[in-house]
Amino acid sequence: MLAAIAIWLYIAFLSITFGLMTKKLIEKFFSFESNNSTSFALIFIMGLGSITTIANYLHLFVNIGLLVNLFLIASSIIYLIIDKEYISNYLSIHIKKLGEINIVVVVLGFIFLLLALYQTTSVTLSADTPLYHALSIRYIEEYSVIPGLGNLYHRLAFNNSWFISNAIFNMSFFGLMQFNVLGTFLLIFSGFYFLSGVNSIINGNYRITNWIKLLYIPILLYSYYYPHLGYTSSPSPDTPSSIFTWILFIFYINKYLRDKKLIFDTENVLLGLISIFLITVKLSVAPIIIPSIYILLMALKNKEVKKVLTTVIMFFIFLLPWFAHNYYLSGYLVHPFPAVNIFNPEWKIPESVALNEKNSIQKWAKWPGWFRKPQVKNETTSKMENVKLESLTYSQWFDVWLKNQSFPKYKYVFYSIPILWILFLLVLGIKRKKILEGNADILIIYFTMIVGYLYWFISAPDLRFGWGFIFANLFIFIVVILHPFFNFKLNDKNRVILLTTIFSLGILLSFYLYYNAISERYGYFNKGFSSDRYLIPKNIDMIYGMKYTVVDGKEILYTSDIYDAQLPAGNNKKHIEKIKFIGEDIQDGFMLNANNNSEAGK
Amino acid sequence: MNLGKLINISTINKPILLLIASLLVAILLFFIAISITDSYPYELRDNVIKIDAYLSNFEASTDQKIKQKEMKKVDSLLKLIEKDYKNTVAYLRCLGKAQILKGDILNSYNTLVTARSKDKKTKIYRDLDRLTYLSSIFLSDIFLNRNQSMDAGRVIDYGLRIIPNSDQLLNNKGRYFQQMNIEDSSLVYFNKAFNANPNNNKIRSNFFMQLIKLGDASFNTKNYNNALNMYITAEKLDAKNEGLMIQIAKVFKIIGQIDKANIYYQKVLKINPNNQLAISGIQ
Repeated sequence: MLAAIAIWLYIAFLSITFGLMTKKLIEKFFSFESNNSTSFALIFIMGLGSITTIANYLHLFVNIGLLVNLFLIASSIIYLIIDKEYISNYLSIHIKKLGEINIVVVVLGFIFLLLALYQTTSVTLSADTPLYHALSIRYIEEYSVIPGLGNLYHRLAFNNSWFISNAIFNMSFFGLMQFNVLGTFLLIFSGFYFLSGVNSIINGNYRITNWIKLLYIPILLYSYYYPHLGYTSSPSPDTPSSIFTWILFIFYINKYLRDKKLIFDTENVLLGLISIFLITVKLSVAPIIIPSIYILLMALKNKEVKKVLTTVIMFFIFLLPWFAHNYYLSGYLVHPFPAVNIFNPEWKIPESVALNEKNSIQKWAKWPGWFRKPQVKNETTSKMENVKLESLTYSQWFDVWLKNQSFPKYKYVFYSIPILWILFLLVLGIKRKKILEGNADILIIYFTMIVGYLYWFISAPDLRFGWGFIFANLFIFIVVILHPFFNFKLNDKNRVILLTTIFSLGILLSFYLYYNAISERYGYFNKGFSSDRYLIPKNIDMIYGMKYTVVDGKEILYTSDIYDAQLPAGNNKKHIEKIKFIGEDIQDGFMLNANNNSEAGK
Repeated sequence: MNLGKLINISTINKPILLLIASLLVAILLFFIAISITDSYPYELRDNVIKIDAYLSNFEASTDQKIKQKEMKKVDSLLKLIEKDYKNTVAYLRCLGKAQILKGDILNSYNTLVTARSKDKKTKIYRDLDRLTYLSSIFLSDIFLNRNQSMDAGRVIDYGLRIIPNSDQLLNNKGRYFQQMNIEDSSLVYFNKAFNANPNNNKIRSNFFMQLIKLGDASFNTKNYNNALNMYITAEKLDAKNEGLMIQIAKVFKIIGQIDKANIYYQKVLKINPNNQLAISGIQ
């Protein structure tokens, strides 16, 4: 717990300084006026994105360890010294705002803090962390990007920037463990951010984004225990991609409400960069870039070509190291999308394997392993038989998919969303002026939400991939539809009654979802609590079933739940035995044996 | 009530100092935490995992040369971590496991019991119980074979505290009571072992033999009802044992139940038509 608090402080320090650094750079590049009212949360996420991008570049040459951390600390301190006035001005305003925090919100914030602290003491239950998250991160921590790593173990080619972020803050160079406290930091950060909406409501500010923030709180708590999403102490990219998606939409709506349109300014460039960062974390949230594209197109229309080009270059700077990682890990520009087949390095994963990987991800999303297998009556034998996904009609699959979702009452959530879209259109017709407070740019944000949702459902409808868009659609449309019909000019007594009712319902819902998520696993979360965990987070205990095989005279460890085993390590003997070392060392990379190449796709 | 009314936030007018202070506090807290923790470093965990992999290969291989090679690698890694970590559960667990596979059962038992006593609070290693349990089976076998009954009893009781329903330890407990000449208790434990695993021929045989032994003892002291109970229970374990059925028939005959005695003689003749005792006994 103590180490977790220390690392949280460290993350906060670096995120604030790098966030402000990025903001300053953008203001300088575009000659924008300095804007000290930019949301503190926006600076935070931008900072995290910038740190990750820098580390992404550095990882092309060095491992993410002590050196990278020293570089980041030194850069921050130098920036603090050379730009202290700018930083002081910005922070002073936001520190003063702390005085407006209601004591109820302080108490709720403290509960979030305690919850996050407690959760650092449990090992993640996310199935993917032992499967490949922890191992991917260990490779990042000990080596610079390794060519053809995906040949050794196919999941190690699933490139996402969140592993780089985790590697920076894992502090594993101290030789103790992967601390994995970035997830719990995110819980506190997003919890505080959503509580700021509660604070505004208590202080009489009924802007729609405050209600949206309020609605996100119960689902935020649930998200950290949803069995297939991420769990608090998991480095899974599913959690940040979902939570940052929610927050980004709030930023966009807030900006629209303030500016009455989507304008080309510092904050929108920051939002664009965060969107790009988010795509490098999880490709399934790609539609989040639509508002930025729209803003750039509008700028082009206004003949601001230079600004647009500079922005595109900035976007590219954020994307480039991610593309480079894809190239090194798999031999493709984006993996696993072999359709873009422009490189041919010696370590390239065979096209058939990459395609197989893509299909299996989509298939898993449509039909995960925990689904109950439906049986269909065989007309000739009259017996009930198991059926495969491929043999089902679309409607048969949909029935199975909907019935098997583990989110409570998901059926209602699923059907509500398109109904909300229709209701929104109706309300837009009736209360146009209230919904469009400025020009029609806000519709681009709603359009993005709808596109994101449909893209998720059509491409890979695993709830965890669409978690961000699902609840953004649900809560934002509920608030946007209802808001024009309410008049919040209440007297103090009625306001207290209304707020008490809403908060009580919120707390009850939070408890229900929390209980629903952890009740079956309660014993696990509380098992073997030792006093040592007051000091450091809970590490994984031991890796069981470990075996090894020898390739080119070097031992490679493998087992199914490999966690962060000593390197080189993989997952499957059959795959490992098909590869060879490109050079003398792990760092030189892995490629398929020529005689295995044709077999690899089978 | 707002926070501003409780704390005078406007006095915090040096944000830069605040940021640097937060970094220094972070560094300080982190070093305090990691310097007083009992958690195992990568250095130990990595070697433990490697030892597990080598031992796994040792177990899987039938080639003596490979076995020797793997054990040599295990020994060198154990030596490497012994210096700094010889009192840790991780090291003791690996050592104990290696000792079992080497056949050094007495030492493995002592090592694993020590490891287990250290791991009581956190239960870090979920296979430690299984290893200690296995070791207690092997060691109790050795002690029983050497007629070191008291030592065997101590080891068996320890093992049974880990897995109370262990067929092998219950069987050994039966053997222990046999050696201590406490025949009734021996029968109780053979019975428990048999209930825990009815498919184990060794356990079945021990239970059967003990039933016959106690049946014969009762027969010799003319406690025919008790003898009959023992024999009939034994018959359920071995329904084709001619000697047992002749003995049951004999008891029935003595207590005057001739019809039942004849049924048993006929059963014997069905299995072996030439059995002279059955031919002569049938009326």
